Amino acid sequence: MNRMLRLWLLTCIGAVGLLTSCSNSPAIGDDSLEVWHAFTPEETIVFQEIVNDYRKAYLEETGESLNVTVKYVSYGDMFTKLRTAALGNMTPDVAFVDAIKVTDLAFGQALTNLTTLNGFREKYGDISSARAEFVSASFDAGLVNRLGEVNLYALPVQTTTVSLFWNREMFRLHADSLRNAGLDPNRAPRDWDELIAYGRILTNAEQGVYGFGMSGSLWFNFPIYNMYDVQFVEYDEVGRAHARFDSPNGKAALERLLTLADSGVEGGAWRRSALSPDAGFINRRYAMILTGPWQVEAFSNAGLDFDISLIPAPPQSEIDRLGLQPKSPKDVERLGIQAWSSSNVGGQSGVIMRSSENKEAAFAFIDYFTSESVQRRWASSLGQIPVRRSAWVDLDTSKFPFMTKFMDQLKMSLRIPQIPLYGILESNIYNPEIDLLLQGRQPPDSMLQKMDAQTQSVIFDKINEAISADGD
Amino acid sequence: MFRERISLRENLAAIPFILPFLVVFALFIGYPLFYSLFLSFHKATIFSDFYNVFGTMQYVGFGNYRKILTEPVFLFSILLTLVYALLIIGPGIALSLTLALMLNRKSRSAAFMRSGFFLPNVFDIYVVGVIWLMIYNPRGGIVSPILGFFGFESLASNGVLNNAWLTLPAIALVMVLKNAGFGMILFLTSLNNISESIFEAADVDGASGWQKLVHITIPMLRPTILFLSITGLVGALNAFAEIYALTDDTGGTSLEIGDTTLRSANVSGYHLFKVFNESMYGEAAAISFVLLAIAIVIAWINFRVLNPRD
Repeated sequence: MNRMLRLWLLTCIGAVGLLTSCSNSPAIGDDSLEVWHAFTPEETIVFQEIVNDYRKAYLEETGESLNVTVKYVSYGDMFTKLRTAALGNMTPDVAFVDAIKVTDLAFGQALTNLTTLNGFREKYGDISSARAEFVSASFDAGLVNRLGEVNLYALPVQTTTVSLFWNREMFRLHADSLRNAGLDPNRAPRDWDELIAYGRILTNAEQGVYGFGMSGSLWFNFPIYNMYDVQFVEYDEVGRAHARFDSPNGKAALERLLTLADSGVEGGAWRRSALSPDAGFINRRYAMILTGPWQVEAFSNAGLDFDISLIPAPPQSEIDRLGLQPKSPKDVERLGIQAWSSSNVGGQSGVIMRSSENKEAAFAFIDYFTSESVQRRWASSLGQIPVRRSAWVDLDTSKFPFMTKFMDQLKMSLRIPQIPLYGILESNIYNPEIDLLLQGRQPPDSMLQKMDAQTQSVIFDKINEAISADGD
Repeated sequence: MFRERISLRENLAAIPFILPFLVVFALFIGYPLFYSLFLSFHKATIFSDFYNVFGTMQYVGFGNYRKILTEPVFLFSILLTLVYALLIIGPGIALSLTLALMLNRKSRSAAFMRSGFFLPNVFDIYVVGVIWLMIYNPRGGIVSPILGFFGFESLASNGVLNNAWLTLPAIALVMVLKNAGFGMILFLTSLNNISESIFEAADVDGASGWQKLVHITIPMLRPTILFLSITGLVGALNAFAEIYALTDDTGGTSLEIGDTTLRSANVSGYHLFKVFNESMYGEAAAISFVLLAIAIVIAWINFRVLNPRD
C-alpha cells in the first residue's frame, strides 16, 4: 500500500511539474507586460520589431529591462478570449481589440479608464487635448458613456475606412456610351443619382455584370447612415439610451438603399448565396463596390485596373430637403458635393485591462505605439493610415498611392454609434429587417418602427433597467 | 438479510473500481450539468463585471424560462427544428437504405460506388457548405438554370437560399446527401448480419421481393433505424455548422409572420449558439434545458415506436 501511495504521489508531482513547465506565461510583475494583438502575419513582423525597439528604449531610459510578451489572437476571437480570460483573471495587460468592442468591455468593467493614469494626464492633460492628436473618429471609439459618465477607455492603434472602389477597365470599355450620356469615363460618380446613371450603362444583366454591388450588412451600410445624419441612439444625462432610428433622415437613408437595390444596376450582392461585393469586384461582375484598404492587395494581385474614390454623396435635392451638413466643411470648395460624403471607421483600439498590475507601463507602451515616429514607420512599412494626425504631415505615400484617398475619406468618416451588444444589433435586429426591406416585403416606415422597438427592448432597456436598479 | 449484506459488501468493493470514472463524470458532466441548471435561474446584466460574471448574476427564478417560452423567435426556432428533423431523418434513412440495398453485393463497381457515396461524409461541413453555396448561387450555380428551365424564373433569378420557405429544405438536402453514406454503411453491416436462412424460408413460402423487404429486411433493420433516428434528432437539435455555413451566419432569409421578423433557418441549435455568444448565459442555459426536455420526450417516443416490447 505504501508503495502504491508513493507511486500515486510521484505521479501527481510529475503531472503538476509537467503542467507548470508547459506554461510559457511570464511571471507578472513590475517589469513585464503581456500584449494580445490580432495583426496579420505581415503586420506582426513589423509589430514585433516595434516591440523590440520599445524594449531597448525602455532599458536606455530607465536602466531596467522590460519583458514584453506578445501573443496573437485571431481578430474574430479576441473579444471572446478576453471575456473567457477575465473569468479566470488571466487577461493580458494590453489588448488591441476591434474598436466596436470597446463599449462592451467598458460596460463589463473590464477596462481601465485612461484618464485616471498619471501617464495620460502628464502627456495629454484632458480628453479633448488627446482627441486633437488623433484621427478623431477613431479616437471617439474609445469614448464610452457608462451610467451617464463619458470616459476614455482606449486609444486608436489602427484605423481603416470604407471607400468607393471602381473598375477603370470596365469604365473604359463603355467610355463612348458614358460620354454620350454626359458622364466622364475617367472618374467615379460623385453622388448616388450619378452612380445609378453610370450603373445603367455599365450593367449587362444577361452577362451577369452589374454597375454596383451593395452589401446588406449594417457595418457596410453605415456610410449611408452617416451621410444622412441618421442617429441610432441618444443618451440622456444619466446614461439612459433611447432608440432614434425612426426619423426623416432614417427614412431617407432606407429609401436610398431601396432605390439602389431596385435600380436594376445593383447585382443583388446583399442576398444570401449571391456573389459578395468583394468577390463580384475581383471577378469583374460588379464595376463599383464599397470596401476598405484591406482589399487593395487582393485586387491588385488579381490584375484589376481599379481606382478608389470618395463614396458618393446624397444628391443636392436631398441635401437641401434634409438640411444635411457637409462632413468636411473645409473642403466644400475643393470637393463640391463630395464634401457631403461620409463613411465609417474601423480598426483596432488599444485597451488596458482592469486586472493589469502595471497600468502605467501599459499606457506608456500604447502611447509609444501610437507615437508619430512609430506611426510613420507603420505607414511606410504597411501602407496603413497613421492614427496620429501629426504623422499625416509630409507622409511619404509613394509606395502606397491609394493611401491618400483613404485619408481623404477618413477625414469625413464617423465612428459607429456607441451601442453595446453590437453583434445583436447587427445580426439579430438590423440584418433581418434590411433583408425584408430590400426584398420589397416591408416599407421603410415599418422597418424604422420595428428597428426602434427591437433595439429599445433588446438592447437599450437592458442599460436603462440596470441604471434604474442602480438608482434604487 | 444475509444476501443483502453480501450485496452491499460487493457494492462497496466495486466502488474503488468505478471511482475514477465517477470522479471524471462528476467533474466534467455532473458539475457542469447542475451548474448550468443553476445558471438557468439567473441572469447577467449588461453592466455585469466580466471578471466575476457568474458571481454577480441575479436570481430570476423561472424568468428565463418564461421569457424564452413566450418569445416568438425561440418558439419559431423549435418549430423549424422539428421541421428540419423531419426533413433530414426520414429522407436520410430512406436514401441510406436505398443505397445499401442497391450496393449490397460483391463487385468492384459496388465497392467503388460505396466509397464514392461515403466520401462526402468525411468532408468538413464548411467545405461541403462552400461547394453547395456555389451550386445554389443564382449567378453561375447549376440549380438556377434547372429551375429556370422548368419555369421557376423568380426562384432561378433570386436563388433557392433567398426563398424563405426553401432555405431549410435546401440545407436539409445538403445534409441528407452528405450523411447518406454513413447510414448506408450501417445498413450494409446490418444487412449482412441478417441470416440467409430467413430469406430462404421466405422463398419457400413464396414471398415476393417486396414482401421480403417489408416483412423481413426492414423489421430486422429496426435497431439501425432507431439509432439513425435518435442520432438524427440529436443532430437536428444541435444543428449549427450547416446553418452557419450555408446562410453566411445569418440564420437564413427573413420572413415576416404577423408583425415579427423571423429567420427562415434559425433552428434551435443555431439560436442557442447566438444567445450564448452574446453572453446571455442564463437564457442560454434555460434554452439548453428546454431542448434537453424535448429531446428526451421525442427519443422516448421513438424508442417506444421503433423498439416495442414484443
